[in-house]
Parts: sequence; C-alpha cells; structure tokens
Amino acid sequence: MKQIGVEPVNTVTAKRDLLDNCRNSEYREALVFENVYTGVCSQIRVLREQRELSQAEFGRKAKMAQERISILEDPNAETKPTLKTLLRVASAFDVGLDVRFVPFETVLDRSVNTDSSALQVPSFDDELPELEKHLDAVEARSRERLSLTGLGMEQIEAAKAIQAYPAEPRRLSDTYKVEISKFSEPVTTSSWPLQIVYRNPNLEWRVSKSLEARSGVEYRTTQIVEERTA
Amino acid sequence: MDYLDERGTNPIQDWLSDVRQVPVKAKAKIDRILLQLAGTRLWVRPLASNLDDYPGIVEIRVRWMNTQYRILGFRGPDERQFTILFPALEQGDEFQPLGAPGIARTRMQIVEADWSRACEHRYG
Repeated sequence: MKQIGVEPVNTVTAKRDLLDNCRNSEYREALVFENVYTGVCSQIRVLREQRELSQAEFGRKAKMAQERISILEDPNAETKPTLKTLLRVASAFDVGLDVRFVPFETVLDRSVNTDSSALQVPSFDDELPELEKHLDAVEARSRERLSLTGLGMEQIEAAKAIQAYPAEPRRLSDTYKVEISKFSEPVTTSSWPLQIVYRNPNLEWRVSKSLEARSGVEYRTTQIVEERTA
Repeated sequence: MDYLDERGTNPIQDWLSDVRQVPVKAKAKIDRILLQLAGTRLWVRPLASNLDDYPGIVEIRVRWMNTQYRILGFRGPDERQFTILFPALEQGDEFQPLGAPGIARTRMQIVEADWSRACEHRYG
C-alpha cells in the first residue's frame, strides 16, 4: 500500500460538524465509543511501528499471538480489547495507560486531532532521563524561590495565609488580624519580614503578588480571629 | 474532498445523511475513521487498500454491525488531498453495486479533468 499524505483536516470546521452531530444523543454515544476503540487501535499500531516491531515480534513481547495483535489494531474487528488486555499491551510497550471520564470538549479534540506522530509514546526507559531532568529543574526552581524570599517555613506559611485573606474587597482603613491554625500563637504582629497586619487591601495585593512571584507557592487557608475597623 | 455531480449536488453527503443507508451510529464510525486516516501518513490495511484492477482507486473499509462499507476514493485532485468518489457496500465478498469500482474510476477521471467537481468533505 503506497503512502498517502492527505492534507490536514480543517479542525475547526470538523469540530463544528461533530458538535452539530453530537446534539443527537445516539451519535454522541457512538462517537465516544468510536473515539475509544478507533483511537486505541490506531495508537497500538503507532506504538508498535514506533518501536519498529512486526506484529509477530510485538506479539512475543506481549505474549499474544500475531493474529490477536492484528485484531487489536483493527478498528473494524468485532472483538474489542478489554481493560485487562490494554493493561497488558501497556506493559509490553512499557508505557502508562490513562482511563478516565472526560468532557465532550476532549472527545471532540481527540476526534479531530488525529496526527499519528502525536500518538507516539516513549517507553519508561526512554522517558526516564527527561523525567529526571524535568523534576530536577522543578526542585531547583523551588529551592531557589525559597531562598530568594529569605523566609523560614513558618513565615512562609503565615504569608500564605495573609495572601489568602481577605477574599472580598475591604475598606482601605480596615485592619485585620489573621491566625494560621497550625501555629500555637496567633500571628498578629508586624515584625515579620512581611507585614501581617494590613490596612490597605491594595497594598496586600501588591505584596502578595510579589511574594507569589518569588516563592512560587500556592496560598490558602486562613482564619479570622479578630476584625476591627480603624 | 467529496465528488460533486454535474448538477453540483454532493452524492457523498446525500448518502451519509440518509439514515436508511447509513444509520447514525454507522455515520459516527465512518466520520471517526475518516478523521483517523486524515492524521495517518501511511494508509494500510485493514482500514485502507488499493484496488488492484482499478489503478488509483483506494477503498476505505468501515464495518458496522453486519454491514461492510467500502468507501471508494482516490488521491487527488491535489496530491495532498483525498476525494471520496463512491460509497459502496460489500455483499458476499463482492461490491454492492457490482459496478462500484467502475463508477469510482469514471468519477476520478471527471475530478482530475475538472477540480470544481470536488468540494471539501464535511462531517455534519
């Protein structure tokens, strides 16, 4: 069979067409079904070819007959792969398997974005150096941000709470005290590297943003212990 | 792309939107397989194959329930396009209608001679 490189689908019009069809629940249900099985059959083939294995060679790795691999790669086959079979295939390819419910936006995206090169997945061993490199970079960034803030962990925790409060706009003259539940003593002084008691929500916003940028931490959880109008 | 007849109507869309010929679920499967092929560089069996006796004609096979659709088309008019020419079925290992490959070949020649006899395929 000769190679046929057809021009890419206009994904916008294709998605619009599929969306229009999906207003019919019967079509919608069938598209979900076909997306799963046509998608997975095609990806098994892509992964096998990515590893330059024949069906027989991959069958030996997966401990399945060549005929069964042929069926697994055929979206028209009457026998559909079970989750157990897919896990076995994932193990033979040494890749992960992700089974989850998704919104229709994802179904439509996956229906129209079918470029086979995007279906390729490296094996764990091939992916490992990149995984380690990525994690090393994230950890290094995190350490750098912590040291840049010049704060101890408790202070950072307090600052997180400050940033999270107040959730709603307050008057400029309001003063707040906040308590971080994990501390035995309420943190109410202004002697910290970052101000704990605020009089101006706009100031708080600026400080918070600055802290967020420097520490890279997500802030949440606070409890009001006293609220007083200046 | 879809073949257009001499009146400018689209027989491929007419066929796909006729639920007596293509039930809704079968259409979903055809749509999905066409989209899958559009993202695939190498068209191979079991989804696609050349017709040995009809050079240039490619068939796309879609099975739904007990019906085997054999959608005939060709690579063109532009070399990166694929045009659906004739939607056939299979009955007892033969094309239904029997003359489907011949019709597809005639239509291919028409489109090659006049590119306006093909339009963008829509999935709607």
